[in-house]
Amino acid sequence: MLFLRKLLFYLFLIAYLALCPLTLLYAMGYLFRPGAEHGVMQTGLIALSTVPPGASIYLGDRRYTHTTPALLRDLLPGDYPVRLLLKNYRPWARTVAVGDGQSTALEHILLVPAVVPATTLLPGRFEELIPLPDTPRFLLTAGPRLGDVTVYDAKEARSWPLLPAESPWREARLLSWTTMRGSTTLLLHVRGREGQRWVWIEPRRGEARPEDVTDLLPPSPRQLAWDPLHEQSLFVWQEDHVDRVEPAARAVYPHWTEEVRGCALWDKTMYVLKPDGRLLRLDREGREAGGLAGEAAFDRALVGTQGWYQLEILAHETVLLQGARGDLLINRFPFRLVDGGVRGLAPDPQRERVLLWQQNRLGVLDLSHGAVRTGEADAGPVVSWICESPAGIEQAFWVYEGSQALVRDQEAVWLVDAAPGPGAPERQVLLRVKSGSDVVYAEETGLLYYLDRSTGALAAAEILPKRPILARP
Amino acid sequence: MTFHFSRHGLAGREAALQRACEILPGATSWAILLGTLLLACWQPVAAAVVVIAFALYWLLRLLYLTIFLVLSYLRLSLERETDWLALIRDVDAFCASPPQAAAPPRAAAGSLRRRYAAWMHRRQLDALRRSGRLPPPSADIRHLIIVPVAQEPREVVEPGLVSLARQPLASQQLVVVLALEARAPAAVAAGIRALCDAYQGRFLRLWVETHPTGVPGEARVKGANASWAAAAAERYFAAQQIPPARVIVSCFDADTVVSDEYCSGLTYAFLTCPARTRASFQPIPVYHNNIWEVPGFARVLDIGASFFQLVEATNPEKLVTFSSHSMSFQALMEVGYWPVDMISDDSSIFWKAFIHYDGDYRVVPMYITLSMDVVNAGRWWKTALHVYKQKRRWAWGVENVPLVLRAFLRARRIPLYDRWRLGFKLFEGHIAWATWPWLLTLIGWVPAFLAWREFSSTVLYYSAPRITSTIFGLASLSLATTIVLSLCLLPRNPVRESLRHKIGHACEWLLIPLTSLFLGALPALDAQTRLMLGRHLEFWVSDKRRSRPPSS
Repeated sequence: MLFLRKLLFYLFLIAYLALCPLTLLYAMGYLFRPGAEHGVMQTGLIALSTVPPGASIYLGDRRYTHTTPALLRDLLPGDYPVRLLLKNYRPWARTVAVGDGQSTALEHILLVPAVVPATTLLPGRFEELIPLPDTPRFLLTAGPRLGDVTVYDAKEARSWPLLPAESPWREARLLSWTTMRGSTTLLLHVRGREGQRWVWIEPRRGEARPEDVTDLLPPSPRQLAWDPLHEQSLFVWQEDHVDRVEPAARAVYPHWTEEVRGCALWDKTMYVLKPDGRLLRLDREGREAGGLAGEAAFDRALVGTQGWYQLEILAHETVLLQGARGDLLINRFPFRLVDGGVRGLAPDPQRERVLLWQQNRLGVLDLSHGAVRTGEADAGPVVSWICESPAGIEQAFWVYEGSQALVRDQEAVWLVDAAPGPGAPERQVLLRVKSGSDVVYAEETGLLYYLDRSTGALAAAEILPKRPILARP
Repeated sequence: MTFHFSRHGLAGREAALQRACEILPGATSWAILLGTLLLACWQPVAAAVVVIAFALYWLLRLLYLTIFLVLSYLRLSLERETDWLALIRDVDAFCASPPQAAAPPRAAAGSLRRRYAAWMHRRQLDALRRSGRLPPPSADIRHLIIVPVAQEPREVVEPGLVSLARQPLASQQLVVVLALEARAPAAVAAGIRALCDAYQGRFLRLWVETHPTGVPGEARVKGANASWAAAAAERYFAAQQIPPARVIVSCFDADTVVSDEYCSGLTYAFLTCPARTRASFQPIPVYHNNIWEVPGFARVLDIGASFFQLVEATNPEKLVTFSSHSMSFQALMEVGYWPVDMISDDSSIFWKAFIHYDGDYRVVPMYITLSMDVVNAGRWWKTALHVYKQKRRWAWGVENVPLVLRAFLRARRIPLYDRWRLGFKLFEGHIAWATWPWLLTLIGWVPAFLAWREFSSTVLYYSAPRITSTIFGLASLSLATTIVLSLCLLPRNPVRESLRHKIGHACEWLLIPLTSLFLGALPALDAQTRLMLGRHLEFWVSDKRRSRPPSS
C-alpha cells in the first residue's frame, strides 16, 4: 500500500505540474497552433447572448454549430463581422473587435421580430394616453371630461373608470395634469361648474376620492412636486419661494423655503438650487441639511442669475439641472453637458446613465466613468449622441437592462442600440402609434402600451420576450 | 529526548516560542482567507489564476484520496471475516519454533477474503522473523481498557461494557477501569458504580477509579482522568507482577462499542508488530451507535470523519492516533501517561511518545472498527450547535502544533526529513481544515462576482467559472464514490425504509458544501483563532442520546 501510495503520489504530482500551467494558459486564452507562423499565441473571445436565445451565429462566412448564448473562443486578434440569424426575427449584424487575452461581451442582444406581436387590450377609441412614470398605471382619455378617463393597471392587466358613476367631478373638463415619477397620485387641473379647480386624486380601483385643493394652491403655480414616499405633502413653487401644502390637513405652510431657482424631491429630501448657484438639501422643516459635494465649482457663472431649473436627482450627490432653454448641467466636472435644446431625460440610476433627447437626436450620458477630476486632460462624463431622428423625438425609454433605447417620435416607435458599434443599423422602426399620443414601456413585462394609430384602441406590443433568468453562455 | 510536553511552566525564550507557535496556525489561516479576498478585490486576474491552480490541486488530491478510500474500504471488508484467534494461535506456534527462512508461498483454500488474510498473515510472520523480536505468548497478554466518564449516564456506557464482555477470554485477559470524575453528578456516579457491580466477574478485573478534582497541574480534561486511572492500573499490574510490556492499554470514549473481534485483532496486531512497545494501534472509528437517529448533516459529517481515518490508515508513515485507540502500556508509562492539561489527548499522546522516543514511534493501522455515538441533542438546531462544539474540540488538536514545532526545533536526534514531513502534515492539515471549504465554496467565486471592468473584459473572466465548474464536475466522481461507500458502510437501519428514504440518505451528501463550511471550517477557524488570541478551550462533553441500543 505504501509503495502504491508513493507511486500514485508522484504520478499525481507530475499530472498537476503538467496540467496546471496548461489549464492556466488555456484560461487566459493562449493557444498553440503548429507551424512556423503560429506557435503559441494569445487569443480573445466573443460572448454572445440574445433574447430570445437560439440564434444561429455567423462569423464572416463561417457558421458556428452552437447557437446563442455562446462563447466564441480561440479568436486571433482582429475585427470580426458577426451576424445572428433567427427565424421570424430581423438579422443582427456588427463588426466586433477582438484583442489578445480580451473578451468582447455582447450579452444583451435584443433580436427584433420581423413583425412585432401586438395585442389589443382595450377596444374603444381613446384620444390620449397619460403615463404615470415609473408606476404600472396610466390613464386613457376618451373625451374631454373626467368621466371619460379610464385607469389601466399594466401589472394587473385590468382597467376601471377614474371616477365612480356618482362622482360630481365626472362632468369637469380636464385641462392639464401633473404627475410625479414613482407616484400613482395625480394633480389634475380641471374646469367645472365653479370654474378652474385643482383636484388631488389617487386613481384607486373603485375608491378614488378626488380632493379639491384649489383653495390651498396659488392661481398659477410654477411647479408642483411631491415625494412618492410621502404623499401627504405637496410642494408648490411660485416666484422665488416654495409653499408646503398638506391636502389631508387642509394646511398651507407659506414660504416654506425662499430664494429658490429650482427644486426636486428625492429620497425624502428636498434639493434646491439657490440664486447663487449653491445646491442644498433641506429637511422636512425646510432647514438646510447640508450642501452637495463639488458645490464650490458649481458657481453663479454657470447657472446665471436668472431662470428656473428642473432638477433631476440621480444619486445622493449627483444632480442634473435642466434649464428653460434645454441646457443641461451637472453638479460635477465638467458641469455643462449640453448648451441647449434638451427636451427630456430618462435616468437609469442603477447603471449611472441617462438617456436624453433633443428635437432630432438621442444621446446617452454615462456617469460611471470620469467621476474624478484628475487633471487638465480629464474630460469627465460627456454625452454620446447615438442617433438622429428627423421626425422629432417625444419620448425615450431604457430597454433590456440598458442595452437598448426605445424611442417615440411623432408617430413611430423605434429601437436603437445604446452603444452602437460598427456595422450596427441606425435604428429599427417597430411600429406606428397614434400621432401625438404618449406610450408607456414596462421593463418588467417587456410590453409597450400605446394607442393604435387607426382605431385608437389600447394595444400592447411585446418588445422584450420573456427570457430565462440565467442566459449566460 | 526529554521534552516538557505542555504549554504550562515555560519561561523566557521557550514561553515566547510557544506563544509564537500558537499564533502561527490562526495567523496563517486568516492570512490565506483575507489575502485571497483582498487579491480578488485588487487583482482579480491574479486571484482567478490562484483559484484555478488551487481548485486543480484540490481535485487531484481528492481523486488521489478517493483511490485510497476505496482501497482502504476494500481491505476493511476483506478483513471483516478474519479469524483472528486462529491467526493468534498460529503466531504462538510460529514463535514457539521460528523457522530460519521465509515459508514458501502456498495456495490458500477458501474465499478471496480467506486467501487475502492468509497472504497478509504470511507477510506479518515473515516480517517478525526478519526482525528477530518475537512476541510473548498470547496467553500472557493483558488488555487494560480505560473508560473515562465525566457526565455520561449508565445507558451510554453500558453498551460498551457489554461489547467488551463479549470479547473472547475477557474474563482472563481484560482489565477494565471505569475512570469516574469526582465532579460527575451523583446520579451518574451511582449509575457507573451499579454498572461495575453488575459486570463483576465478567472480566479479569473491573473497578471504578475516581479521579479527584483539583489535582495540581491538571486541567479539566479527559487526559487527566485517564492518566489517573492508568496510574492506578500500573499499581495493580505491579502487584500482580504483570510486566507492562505485555499489557495493551486502550483508552475509549465512554460511548465506544467495540466489535466482537476487536481485542483479538488488537492482540494480533500487537504480537505481529516487531516494535510493539513503540507503537500505538489505531482502529477505524465509525459512528454507528445512533446513526439513524440523528439529522442528516450530523450523519454525513461523522461518516466523513470515518472515511478520513480510512484514508489515513493507508499511510502509516504519517498516521497519528485519533479518538479511541490502543498502545503499549509500557510506552504509556515511559512517556508519563496522557497530557493532563490538553483537550486533544488522543493525538497528543502520539506526539508525546514520538518526541520521547526521538522519532522511534509509530501508529499501526488496524482494519477493525469500533463504534461511537454521533452527537445528538434532540432538536436539529441544538444538535447542530453541539456538533459545532464537538468539531471545534476536535479542531482544538491544533494545540499540538506549537508543542510539536517547539520540540522539532530542538529534536536533533529525529531525522530532519521526518520532522519536516510530520510537522508539515500536522500544520497543513489544520490550515486546510480551516481554509479550504471557504476558498472552494465562497472566496473562489469572488473574482467573478466583483468583476471590475478590467477583469470582466478578459478571456480569463469567462474561462475561470467554466474551468472551476468542470473541476467541480469531476470532483463529483469522488462524491459519488463516497456516497456508494457510505451506503455500504452504514449499518442496516432498524426501521424499514422506503426507496425514497434511501435516496434521501444518498442526497444528504449534497449538504457537504454547507456542512463542511459551517460545521467543518468554521469551528476549525474558531479554534485556531482562539489559540492565536490565547483564549484556550475547556473540555466540553458532547450530548449523545440514543433511543435504541447501538446497531451491531
